Amino acid sequence: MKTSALGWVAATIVLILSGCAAQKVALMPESRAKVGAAVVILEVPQEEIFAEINPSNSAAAMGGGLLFALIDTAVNNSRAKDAELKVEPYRNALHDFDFQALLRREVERAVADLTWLDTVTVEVDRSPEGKLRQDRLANGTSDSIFVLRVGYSMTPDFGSLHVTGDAKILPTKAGEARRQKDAAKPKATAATAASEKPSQPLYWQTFTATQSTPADSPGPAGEVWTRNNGAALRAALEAATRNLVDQVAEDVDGRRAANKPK
Amino acid sequence: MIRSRPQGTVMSSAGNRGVLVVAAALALSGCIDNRMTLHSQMAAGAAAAPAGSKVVLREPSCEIQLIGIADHRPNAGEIPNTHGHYMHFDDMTGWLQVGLTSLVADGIAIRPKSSGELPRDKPRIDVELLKAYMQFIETSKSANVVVKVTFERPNEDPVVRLYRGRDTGVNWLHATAELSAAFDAALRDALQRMTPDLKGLCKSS
Repeated sequence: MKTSALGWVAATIVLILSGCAAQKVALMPESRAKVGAAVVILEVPQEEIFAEINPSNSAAAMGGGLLFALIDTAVNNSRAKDAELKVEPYRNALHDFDFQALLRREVERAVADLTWLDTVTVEVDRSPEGKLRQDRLANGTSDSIFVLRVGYSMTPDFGSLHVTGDAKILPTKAGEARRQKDAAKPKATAATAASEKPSQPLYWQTFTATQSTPADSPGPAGEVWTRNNGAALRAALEAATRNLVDQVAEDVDGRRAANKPK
Repeated sequence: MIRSRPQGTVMSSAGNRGVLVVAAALALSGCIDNRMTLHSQMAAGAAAAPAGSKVVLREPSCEIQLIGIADHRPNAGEIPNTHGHYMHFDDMTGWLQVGLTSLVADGIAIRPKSSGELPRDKPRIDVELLKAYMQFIETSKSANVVVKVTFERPNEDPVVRLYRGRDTGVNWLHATAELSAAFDAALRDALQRMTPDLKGLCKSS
């Protein structure tokens, strides 16, 4: 009995964790038809650039244990303190840089080229919990929402800059209702009805764009990025953001079939 | 004497353990909606005093008028964070004012307008909260505060400066008190960085 109870617990944990794990979904031609009129939501919960750290993984390497977990915690905290200290000049150099506005500009440019995508609006959400996404899914009148959640950071060695994006197309409640109404008509097939699971993403991919230290600039990496009011940093952030948005647009448009996103 | 356990005890304890494990897994997996409201625990008179030090209150040799304090952030009251959870901080301008007015540093005293207007020849500052956010890095957390201070002296052009405060530490419990204390420490850090300029403002006035 005890074994079966523990087995149940283990199975539950696996189920819970698998429910949270990222599952990539390509935009199939039949899904594209369901996108319809879409609201594009740009989620940028991050206030300033942050520095990545190389996480300590001694617990995993040693097969677990509290002692190794504590060692990892201490090492990671030391690295986090160091990273937060070192990233300060970068934050100062970007103190008046409007990343949200940059992202919005780039996305508006890219969606204008996606002629099949009926974009209603492009909105920016700074809330950590995705307030706008939740509201538009439940109360929006569009058929779907196209969510791009973006982060930007320096690599642990400060040699490169990363802009990462998590792109999803989700059907709204209103869109689902309209499609289910259409599916109820005689021409609807069993396959169509079966695919109408609520809130299943029609599309889900993650992307990364990287910009390295300008090769022709002499001096330590930190100085190269931050001098002249962070001119190199701002240029790299603009280039990486443009690159990221282009990757998303090409993928959702089916132009990246041979070149899968990272 | 060996006592036999009643039937069902093993099942029950395993069940309790199961509930705990499932709850822990849920919490760790980040699937639950975690809305937090933070509260300042900053005690008056201890804003810029290093932790553990004794604060000796004495008559200020320089008084600075706080002419304004504002929070113009897009979602004022909310704490942006990289954990994906809603965080709210009660009365951030009030918190900032408590920090400023309780500053203890070499006889400097910052007076809010509510405690009476100082003569016009006294130095003045205007303070704006630009950023207050929490960055989560693996098992650590980092509270960050950025404030803009405008220094005004009689017959001189105003001087604007930005100050950062930060507190990075292990995110042990992700508890309200722990996160609130991190913001208090970040504000103390910003005030310590501001102190030399406040002293300069006093000297030149």
